[in-house]
Amino acid sequence: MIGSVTGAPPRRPAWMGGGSRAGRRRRAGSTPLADKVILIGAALLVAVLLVLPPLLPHGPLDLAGLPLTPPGSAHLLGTDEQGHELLTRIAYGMRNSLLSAFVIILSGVAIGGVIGLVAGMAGGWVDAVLMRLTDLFLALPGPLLVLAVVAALGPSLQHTLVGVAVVWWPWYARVTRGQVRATARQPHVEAARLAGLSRLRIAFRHVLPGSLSPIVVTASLDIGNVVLLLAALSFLGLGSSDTTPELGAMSARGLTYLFSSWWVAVLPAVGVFVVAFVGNFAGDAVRDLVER
Amino acid sequence: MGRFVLGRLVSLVVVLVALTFVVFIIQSAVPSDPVAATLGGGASKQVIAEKRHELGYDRPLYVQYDRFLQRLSHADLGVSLRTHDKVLTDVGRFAPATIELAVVSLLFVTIFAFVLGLWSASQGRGSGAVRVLMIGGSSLPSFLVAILLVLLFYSTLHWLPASGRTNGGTATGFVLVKSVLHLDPSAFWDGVRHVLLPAMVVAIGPGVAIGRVLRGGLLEAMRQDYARTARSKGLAARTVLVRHGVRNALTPTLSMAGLQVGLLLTGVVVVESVFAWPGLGLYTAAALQHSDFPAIVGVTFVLGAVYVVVNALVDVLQVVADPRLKDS
Repeated sequence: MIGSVTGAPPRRPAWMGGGSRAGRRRRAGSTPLADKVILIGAALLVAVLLVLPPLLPHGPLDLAGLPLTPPGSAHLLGTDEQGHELLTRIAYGMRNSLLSAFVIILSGVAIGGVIGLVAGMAGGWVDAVLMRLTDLFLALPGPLLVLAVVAALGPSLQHTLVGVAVVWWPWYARVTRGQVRATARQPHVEAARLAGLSRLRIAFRHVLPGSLSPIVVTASLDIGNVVLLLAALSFLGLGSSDTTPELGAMSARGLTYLFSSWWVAVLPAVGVFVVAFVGNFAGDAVRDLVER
Repeated sequence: MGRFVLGRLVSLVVVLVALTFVVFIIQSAVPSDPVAATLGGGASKQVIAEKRHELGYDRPLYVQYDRFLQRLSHADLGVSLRTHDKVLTDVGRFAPATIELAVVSLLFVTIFAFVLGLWSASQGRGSGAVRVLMIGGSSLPSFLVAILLVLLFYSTLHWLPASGRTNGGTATGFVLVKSVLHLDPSAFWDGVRHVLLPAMVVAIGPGVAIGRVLRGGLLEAMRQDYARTARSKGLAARTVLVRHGVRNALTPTLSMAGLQVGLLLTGVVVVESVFAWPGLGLYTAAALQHSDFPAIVGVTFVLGAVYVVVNALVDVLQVVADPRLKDS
């Protein structure tokens, strides 16, 4: 066991949606059928978000009607302070937030996965150094550092993605390393080693495929958290500086008109909730199906 | 116990040093030249170069890091580009508002977590409603909750104010504490009315997260032999849950609570900017808008240090609550 720098047993930071393992065995309201239905529903929503926005009658930058038109038959979700169709902008915003979350999680899996794989396969001092570094990152408050990183680089969507990706890998490194160590002790890996295969081949062909399921579970549980963090950063003005539809920024701009035209601030925030909710629900279902 | 605390202290120092290093690295990643920015657009190249040399920006990074640490040890966080005050002075001025907000929020976090945890654990397993509610609660963006509460309690019901800390005048310092010390019930009531909405919004995320962990711990405890014994000797289900469950579920809950402080501090930035609450969060939000980099770095460092120290305290508290953890 590698002693952790923080002195405490390794835990997942709460801002990444960590929790105790207690009570994981049986969860509320979860049956295989319900889980599959949830996943199919989530997949449908993702498909709709990917296909639908360009098919809508108005583009995200079109002036579709009078500014601040309430939701109604002419404009299903109303228009914003400039007369853009909110339905279109929210649909694009939901798509962007989902795609950004995927980018962050993929980069977290890639960076953390490589570090975890190297640490788990190498063992010894390489393992000790890499894991102590990981623990150190886990002990620092990630979202606060993201604020500073993005502010330093200048606000833009790319910089926000870079900033979040910088703090998002350590937990994946930890999960991967733990699983790699467990898989590497299995007989089939021993057999591959005795057969004289190279370490690289053993790592990628024999250890990694058997170590994927906890990484998949962690990643799918993460979607909701990343969506919420990105929305908060965008709300604070750290997202894209141009007119790209971003739900957080749209909601923040709508605050000015909150008491006369509530929909401009409320509906984009509801869009964030829907994406996070579907992401969290799907993640929960994936965990149940994989761990069952 | 002494050895554990000492070990924890050592790792605390290591993490704090790491924090200074990370903050330093972020600071030196600023693309805009801080020297050119302070001297203004009219400065000639030679003047800028001389100033750079004077301030040490042309030295190697490790020399600059050394200087950075020396300035930190003299509690020098630089000067805000927006307020033109020392960042530490600003932090001292805006911290009381945030501390009061955070303390009231912690009260709400405790209430939310216990109500949610105990209620959902008493529903037993297999309840779809509990699952939807838990996941829904942890999917709420804080600005959505803030907007909805403002629309309901301020704009529709006219029960609570939606911005600031007091009615009229700019409030500084500890408003609630001061009103208690001055035995001024109307000022206290005014302060409470202002803090209720922002504190509830800050508390929802951490409250739901801690409630989920508490629920997990409670269900785990209810599977144990002592819970079965308690039930079979005729205790009511609720008594078993409260008397035998809560204590044993407290350890993971406590560690979650410490970690949630990080979320609470970030949530404060969003919530303070919605409610115009004149604390560190609003200060940070304004700094972000004006690219006031010294202020952002200073607040990041102070709040980061608070987070690290609180988590060290929580670790020690956990061992006090459950001495078996000392050996793990």
